Amino acid sequence: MAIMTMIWGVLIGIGFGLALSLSGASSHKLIVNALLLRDLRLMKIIMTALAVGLIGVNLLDAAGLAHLKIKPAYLLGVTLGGLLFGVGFAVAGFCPGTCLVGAVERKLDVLFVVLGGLLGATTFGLLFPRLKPILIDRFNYGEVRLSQLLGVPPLILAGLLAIGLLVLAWWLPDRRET
Amino acid sequence: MTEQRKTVAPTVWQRTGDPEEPVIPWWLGGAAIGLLLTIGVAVFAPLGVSGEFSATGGRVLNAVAPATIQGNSYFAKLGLSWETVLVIGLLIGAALGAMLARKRPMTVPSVWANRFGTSVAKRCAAAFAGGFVLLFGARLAGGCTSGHMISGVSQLALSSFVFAGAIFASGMVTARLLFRGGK
Repeated sequence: MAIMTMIWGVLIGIGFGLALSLSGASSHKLIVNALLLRDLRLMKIIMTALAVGLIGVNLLDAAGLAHLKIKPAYLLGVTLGGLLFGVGFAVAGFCPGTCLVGAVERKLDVLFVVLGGLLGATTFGLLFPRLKPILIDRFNYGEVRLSQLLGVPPLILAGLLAIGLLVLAWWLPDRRET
Repeated sequence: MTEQRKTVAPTVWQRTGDPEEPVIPWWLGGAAIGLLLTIGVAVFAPLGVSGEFSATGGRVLNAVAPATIQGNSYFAKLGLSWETVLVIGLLIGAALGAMLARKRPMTVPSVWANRFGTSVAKRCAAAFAGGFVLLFGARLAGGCTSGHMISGVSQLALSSFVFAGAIFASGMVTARLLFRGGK
């Protein structure tokens, strides 16, 4: 990796850490209340990030300037992994990026999310040779994009999704009385 | 007509330092993340965090018990990667954010305390177990909220739409089971 790329990476990381910290994405309260649909501010952060990302990434792609990295669609492993992730998301009250931010913010319990996470990720790595043939090689449809599947130009689909997400984010209330 | 009193939103520096509350509006945080992802895609690659967890574990194993990862392709690349530099930046950014917002240190989150009490040991044990399942799931699925969902859906990856649906379905059910009745 070129030195300039590394500098870009650190700068983007700093911006990302600042955004997560200041927007409250590294708050257990915001995350759990989002999953309980009591406080939708975290959902709105995600929706706005997706809308801007969809437009930005697909404009770059249309201009031939994007370094895309499409995750392969191994549907069994992705679904099972996503379901486990969701359980951890609710129990820990953090996700992998926000737990790193929370730990730096001197939230003691979040340090334990990070430690558990290191063990969990490493355990998966150790089991990888055995899990790969069952969960990753089967039902693997490769690097498929939704735009290919639907036969729609990526920028059009991205634009429509982005508009829908922004309208939804503006229309939804911040908090719901319970 | 009664005169409405104008309330001016306090700035970052005037907030109370509540570590559980945002200091910038959701749209600003979201737009910043989307923009940073776009810059990443223009420069080198999308964002990602969870791969660094297994890489860090791999580096530790490589140092203390190299035989355990011998021949395991999952731990083949343990050098400095795009995700390594992103995470280094992320940690710096988090420290800056905590300072700017004057976030106070804390132990047990309020929503947890209202449901399960203020025992630090109990909360930390759950946090550890939750973290284990979280990262095991992330590595199995091939990414996390930033790398899979935000980066992946922005690239229109089918895999990431499936992942996003799975994490919210299971996260919402689990949260409801855990915190039902809590306030």
